[in-house]
Amino acid sequence: MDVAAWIALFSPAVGVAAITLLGHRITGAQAGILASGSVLVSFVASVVAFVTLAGRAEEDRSEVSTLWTWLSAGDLEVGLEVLVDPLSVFMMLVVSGVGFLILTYATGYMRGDAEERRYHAYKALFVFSMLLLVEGGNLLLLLAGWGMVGLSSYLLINFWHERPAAVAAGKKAFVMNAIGDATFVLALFVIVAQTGVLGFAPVFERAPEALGESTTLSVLVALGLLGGAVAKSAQIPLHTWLPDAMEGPTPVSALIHAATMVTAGVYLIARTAPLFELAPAIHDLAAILGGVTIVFAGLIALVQTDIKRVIAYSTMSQIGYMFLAAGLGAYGAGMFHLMTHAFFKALLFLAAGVVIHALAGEQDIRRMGGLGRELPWTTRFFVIGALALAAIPPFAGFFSKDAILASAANAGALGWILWTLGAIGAFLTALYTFRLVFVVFGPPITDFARDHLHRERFEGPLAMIWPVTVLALLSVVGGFLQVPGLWHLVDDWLHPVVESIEEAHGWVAWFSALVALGLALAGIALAWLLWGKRSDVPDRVRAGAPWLAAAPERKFWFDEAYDGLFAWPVRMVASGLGRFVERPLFLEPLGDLGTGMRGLSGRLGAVQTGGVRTYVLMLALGLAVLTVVFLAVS
Amino acid sequence: MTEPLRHPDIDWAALAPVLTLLGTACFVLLVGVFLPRGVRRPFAAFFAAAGLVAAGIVSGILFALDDEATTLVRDSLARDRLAELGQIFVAGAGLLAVGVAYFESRGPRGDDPRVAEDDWRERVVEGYVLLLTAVAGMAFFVQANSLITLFLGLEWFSIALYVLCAINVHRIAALEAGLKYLIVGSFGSAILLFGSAFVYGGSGGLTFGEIAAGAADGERLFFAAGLAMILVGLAFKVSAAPFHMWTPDVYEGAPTPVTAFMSAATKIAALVLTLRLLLTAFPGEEELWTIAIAVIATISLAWGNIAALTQRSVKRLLAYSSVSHAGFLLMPIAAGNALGGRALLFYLVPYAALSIGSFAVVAARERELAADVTLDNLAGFGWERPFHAIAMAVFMFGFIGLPPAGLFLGKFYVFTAVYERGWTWLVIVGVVATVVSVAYYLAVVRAMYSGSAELRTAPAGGSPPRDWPLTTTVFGCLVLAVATLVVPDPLVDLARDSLAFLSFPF
Repeated sequence: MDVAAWIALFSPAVGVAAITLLGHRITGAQAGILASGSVLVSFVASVVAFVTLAGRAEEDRSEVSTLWTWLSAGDLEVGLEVLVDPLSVFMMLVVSGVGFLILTYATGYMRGDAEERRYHAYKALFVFSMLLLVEGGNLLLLLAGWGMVGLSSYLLINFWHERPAAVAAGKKAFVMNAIGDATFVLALFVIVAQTGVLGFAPVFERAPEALGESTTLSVLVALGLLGGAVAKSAQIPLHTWLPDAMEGPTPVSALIHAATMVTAGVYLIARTAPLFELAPAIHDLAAILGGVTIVFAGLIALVQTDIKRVIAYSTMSQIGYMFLAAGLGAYGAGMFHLMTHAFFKALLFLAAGVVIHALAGEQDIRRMGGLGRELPWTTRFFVIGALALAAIPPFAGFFSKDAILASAANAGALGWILWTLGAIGAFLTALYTFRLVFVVFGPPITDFARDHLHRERFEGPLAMIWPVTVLALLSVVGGFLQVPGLWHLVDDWLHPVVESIEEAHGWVAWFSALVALGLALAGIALAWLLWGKRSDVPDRVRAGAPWLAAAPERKFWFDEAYDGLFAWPVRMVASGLGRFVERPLFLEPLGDLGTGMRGLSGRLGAVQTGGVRTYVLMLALGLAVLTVVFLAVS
Repeated sequence: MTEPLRHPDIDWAALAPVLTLLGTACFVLLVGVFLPRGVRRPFAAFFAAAGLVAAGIVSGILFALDDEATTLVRDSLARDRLAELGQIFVAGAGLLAVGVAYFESRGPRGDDPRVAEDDWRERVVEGYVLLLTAVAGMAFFVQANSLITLFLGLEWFSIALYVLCAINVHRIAALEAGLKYLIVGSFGSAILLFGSAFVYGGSGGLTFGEIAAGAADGERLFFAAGLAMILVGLAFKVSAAPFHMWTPDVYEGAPTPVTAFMSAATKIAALVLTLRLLLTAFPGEEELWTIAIAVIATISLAWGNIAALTQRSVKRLLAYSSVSHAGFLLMPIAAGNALGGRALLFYLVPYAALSIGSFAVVAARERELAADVTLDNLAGFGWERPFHAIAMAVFMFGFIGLPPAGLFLGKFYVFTAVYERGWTWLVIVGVVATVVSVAYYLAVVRAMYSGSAELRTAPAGGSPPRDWPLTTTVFGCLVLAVATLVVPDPLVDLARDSLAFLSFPF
């Protein structure tokens, strides 16, 4: 089993190395096959690990396999080790499975790009990093994976590096993530200082004693970890990078910024649940941030006009649900939603990719319309994704979202407050999702779409269509893993690692489910009235109360606020320091010093006459001085 | 009744590494003469490499066997792990030099170096034989346990090197280098010999043990003067300032493979012996020599680094770099503690890898350009020879003391040792010298990667000659340099084991 885990981890790394080393000896298409093939190997190995694990008794479903120890100081031993347990295998399956589908799709999507090879290498690098993140057997490896997914995300966001917007987006993502990485690292410092270990099991074992419950230390640790999770998962207040990250190629958005990397924060909370449970206030904070993000991102998604940005805000909002669940202790529900979300959000992105592909790169939904007749299969896939996202039964999103809401309904007063946010979110989700459906696919067809539409067989290359089909199937059936009242496969599977809180039973559960469903249906109906029938109400609202639309359109001024609060003062202080401190105190004197050194060097060179006479003389002088000093001292 | 002539009892096993090398040298020389020209070069190179590997293995076996230090031939030679480790090091340096010296490719015809190469090809057997002889001399030298064997070993490898420097007899610069080295080197040897006589006069002993024992009741003045002169003689070989003046000229003029070998092997041999000599023969003068060496190290660091700043010729630049590293290498000896001993032995390995590796890259560029390598004609190298350039960049960063090369740890150990001695000032000198060195090491990297556009597209010497022995050597140096950073423990353990029998004054 551990062999399978190692193969799963290193197969994409081998893919990266092969693509990099082969260079121009392979074509872009071959590089794509290498990349997706290496991830397929990972997936198969993950399945093997899963089957092996499932065949074991519940209590020995956790195994640490160490390749070698590379840091050993006293009690602290950090090795290259993987942890194979239900949680990591669950993530491995999602990452490598969805990863394989999206990488395959990308071989079609990126066909003909000038730097296709580089793209596929980065993509495989990302899968390797993500697998390292979820398989890493200690916090340091988790951090390494954490940093590496940040790096590959950065590389892929500004993959089209000739676009200034893409480069800026990449930088923004990197900086926002670096804030989270920093708090993560600080938390690790506290953990090492207090417990002296970094492996998961030993840390969790010693933490209650070493950190204490609700002490400053345990709060700091949880807060640091939460900071990392919030940044990576684009939750308020470190969310501003995700919409901009849509500058990357669409398969990147699907894999990294929807299905896997951005959900790493949820994984982190689930993985380090014992540490969060030592600081209940921070644990609750995670849920609250999630709840607020649900509504906040849902509102912004309503007014965005870029198809990918709408889906990006939707991603933020859905991850909000997962945070809500993980923060309340409903880890099973959170991970379940993570999985179904990976299916339907990847589906939505990939279907949107087909649309963008068919419209020669256009992403503005105001120029789209009437595509339902032109791209019938894509429309069907998109609608399946939309129904799953809007949590309409029997699509996957219904069951996972219902599980989260039912758990929230069973978590006391805070739970009910968050439940309310979640229910509002359900309404908003349906509204913005079907706004997209009606605007993009509903009639009438726009002039732009008619002029620019180019169709291939099957509405796109085959490599793009079949992964979408598989994802559509998964979005339909994926939810039946966990049916309320009947079976809870995800909860049961994760049971050995994390203990999830109970869901509500009886009428509360029915109430929760029916209200959420009703709200979702209401959202769809409203979307139909507003956008399906091409009503002029939205425009009238906009005209009558400009501020109402302006707030979400400007994303509630987060970017501006950050710019004013942090970026501007730093720039001011920096330029002041540069002008009044660095230049007179350091730059000029140091410049003089450098010139002086060069002058001295020239003078030393002059001693080097090339004549043996001088050399022997120098030798003799040195000897004389040394001898005289020695004699004098003796 | 006359006393029968008594043969000293000779422990042949202890001499096995030296004899292996000498035997190989004789074999290559004698058989090589009878071989047709075409096969001489591979033959000589193969057997030179084989001899060096064999000598290294023999030394390694002895290292494993000898857990205590003994002496042989009436105490005039030592058989201990320090000597054996030193032999392994010099054999390794020689082995790397074999690759650099192979000249698989013929450079484009035209300039000086064309002659240089053809000359070397003519004299390839002699070249490898002299290389083997030099390594044998060094292997003998690091075993020296008396002033006589010390001088014998010193002359042995020096003479081989004098000839090697001038082996391209058609190249004026090489002849000049050889002659200069011979004259200045003879002067240095004479000083060392003179100093030995004084020490003998002052202590009545020739072996290191006798010198230490006789120091107390001998003539103080003779003894101190002798020590000063021996120090100068050894500092000369290490190319420590101000006794380094020959270094830039000889390094520049000598054929680059010879320079590569000299820069690493001479330092290894001379420093290992300096450590042994000072600890075993002059343990009572520890204040005197530690301070003297600290001062010499400081001068070397200052002079080497500052003078390197304005060099344009890469070989001269590396020569001054070698002077500055002589300073770094003398620092742990000046520290005079066990940590310093370990630091020295550790530092030598990544240093040798970096030094031989960087001269090997210079050799590659030289053959390709058919001209001396300067910072100016290094332009575009990064694009034309990506592997060599990356290796060179690693070597340059390594010399600064930055990862990914093991000198990072070497410098750390050296500074720690000096700090433990309580000489914070010397640590500061070392750090400042390191900062200054960044300027010229990075100048090399910059030169390779920031060539102007037209230089980038127009390789200067036509299509690159494939030279697999050279490239293999560069790769080997790279691996060695990086390995000492990644897995330093084995080397640290070896260094500790080989110093176990010595006692350090501080």
